[in-house]
Amino acid sequence: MIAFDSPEGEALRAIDLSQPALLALWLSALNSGQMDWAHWVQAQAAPKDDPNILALRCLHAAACGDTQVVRLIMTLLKTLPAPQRAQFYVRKALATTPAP
Amino acid sequence: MTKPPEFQEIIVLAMGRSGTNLLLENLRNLQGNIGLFEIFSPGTLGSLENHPAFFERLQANLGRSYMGQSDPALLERVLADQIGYFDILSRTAQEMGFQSISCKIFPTQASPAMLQHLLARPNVRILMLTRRRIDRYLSRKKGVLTQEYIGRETTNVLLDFDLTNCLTDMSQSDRDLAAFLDCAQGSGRPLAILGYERDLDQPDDLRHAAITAALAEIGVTQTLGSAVAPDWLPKQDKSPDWRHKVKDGFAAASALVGLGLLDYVESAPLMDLLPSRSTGALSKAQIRPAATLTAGNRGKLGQRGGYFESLGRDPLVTVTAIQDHQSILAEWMIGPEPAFAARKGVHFLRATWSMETQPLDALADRLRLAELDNPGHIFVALHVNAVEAENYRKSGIRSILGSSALFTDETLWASDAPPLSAIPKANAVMIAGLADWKNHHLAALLGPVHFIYAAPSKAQMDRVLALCPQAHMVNHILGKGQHLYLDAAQIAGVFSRSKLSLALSFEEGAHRGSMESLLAGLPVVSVAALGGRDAFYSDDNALIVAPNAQAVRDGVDQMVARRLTRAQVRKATLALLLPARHAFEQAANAVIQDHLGPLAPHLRVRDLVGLSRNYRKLADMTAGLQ
Repeated sequence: MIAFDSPEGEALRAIDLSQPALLALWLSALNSGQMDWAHWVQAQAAPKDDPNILALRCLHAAACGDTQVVRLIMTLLKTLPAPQRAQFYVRKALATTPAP
Repeated sequence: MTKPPEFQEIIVLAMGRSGTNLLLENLRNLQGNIGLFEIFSPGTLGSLENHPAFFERLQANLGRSYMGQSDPALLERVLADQIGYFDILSRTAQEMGFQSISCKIFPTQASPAMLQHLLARPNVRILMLTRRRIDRYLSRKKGVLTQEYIGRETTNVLLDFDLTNCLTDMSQSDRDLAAFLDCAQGSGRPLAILGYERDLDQPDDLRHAAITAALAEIGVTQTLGSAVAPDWLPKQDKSPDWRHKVKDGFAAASALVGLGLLDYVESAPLMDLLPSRSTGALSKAQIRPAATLTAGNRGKLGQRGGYFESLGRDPLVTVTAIQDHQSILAEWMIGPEPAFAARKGVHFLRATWSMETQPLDALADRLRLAELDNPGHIFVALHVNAVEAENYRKSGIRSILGSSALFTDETLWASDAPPLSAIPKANAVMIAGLADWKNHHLAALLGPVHFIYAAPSKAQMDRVLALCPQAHMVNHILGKGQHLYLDAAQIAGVFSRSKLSLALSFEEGAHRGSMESLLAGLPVVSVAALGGRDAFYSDDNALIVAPNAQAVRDGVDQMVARRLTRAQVRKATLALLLPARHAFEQAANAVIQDHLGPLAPHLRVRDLVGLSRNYRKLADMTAGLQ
């Protein structure tokens, strides 16, 4: 990914990105270990009770080694209704986040 | 007396350039439906003039005559009271005996408040249509550039790509569609979502099935006569890859990768949010009951065991084995009816035995037959080297470079697994069944050696113990005299009691034990062999010796003397494995894209890692695909 502090990074942050774009950016940042981007997106993402955002917070916490948060969110994700568990980022988190 | 069906108002909510004309044109073929297009367009009330009798009656109900569907007075009237106009449209259709009315609305044509009112009508049924962001965006840009939104072929029109404009436009579309979705869900009216690529940009029969399924989902039960692409609506851009629609597609794609947003632009909105219908659309309408599939020969073949993996349901992407000279999946698919109804698929086949010397014509015939019985499905073998590739090519079997060894899970085979204290130390470990062809006799001069094996016969045990009397028969030691099947952790524990591993067969498959021990950091002493295990050998992790017991003993001594650390060996192995995985992923996705088009699922090797330890029945895989 481009550097967070580069002119291109600044230009990207200046775009009024939609929530799907932000979530995609968040996952890319986590996948490539670009935590400055990941932290920035986390601060933009709302609402907090959206299952996909919750899932990304879980992946984010896992990337930060915050096992307590991972455990809490995984418990929540596992108890979501099936349609919500089927959402893209929720599936991703449930499939890839190691049990703390 | 049967109650007449309730009049239904089918409203399509979508962004422009999503394929709405094709959908609305097809809805005109819905029995008893009056098919309109944009009912709130500021420029022209599309398609009213296609229904002269309806337009005449509409004008009567509106209380005056107009010059046509583009009459400014009519447009002004509509804009002044959209709800009232829709009410009159609906009433007119009912008076004329229609069972339903269909129309479309774009985000700029209705405020959220108006839309909430409109969707609150009791007989409203909602269809939403979505399309891949990048293709919709480029279609719109081409429309703006050429000022021709229908009819003109634009395949050769290449656009300048403006990244900021692209992301801004897509983000706005996301918000518009999210607002539509909020209104639609908030109304509580039946809602179904169609995907342009998945449901509409398809052969006529598949498009028909998809629209029929979506209509059924929202409670519309009238018959859809046909779902053809009409002559007046030809596909404007025939390029399957968006990179070919812009001037420097590679640079544009690279820039998007750099931003971490390529997947985003190549996906469609809403499909992520509402996957509930997802691949079920076609299957509900077209896939035969599971009972039919598991009957007869398919039922028996479904009980066969192997390493079967599916990565996508619609379209299908599978990775299964060629075992005993046949593909069980292909055999299972051969039959009078397609195994997966209308869905397409790419089926990768990895051989469990070297294909360098195998006659392949019989296999090729069966694969061809399975493809003929299942239109839209192809089989692609994995070749481990150029000789296998040539052998496949001569038989007419497609193949790409790949090996079962690629799917070995490196996380299971750490170089610091705790040693199993019940097992004494030895220089070498050999994972191999006790069959003759595994060549245990080549280990006869090694003294103590660990043998790990599948359940043997007594004769096999006796023979091997006669050849290698000092061998540690690990499965029986851990099983306290009985054969114990070892899990990965136990095998890793034995590895930690060993300095290297042996691979002594002259011919077999990719040799799982060889890759597992390499990833655990044990160098391999091997004889030259067919099957492809040497693809992951280098001077830093392996030694190939002559096929005699003396050479094997010397090779073991030589390798032990090198004192390679387990971390070194693992690193050298990963240096070969990871690029090979990447190359396979590239080649596999090229095949998938070529066969299934730009919306094809992306195969990721990491989803296949661990496959070599996931033994199951074929039916366990196919059940999940029905």
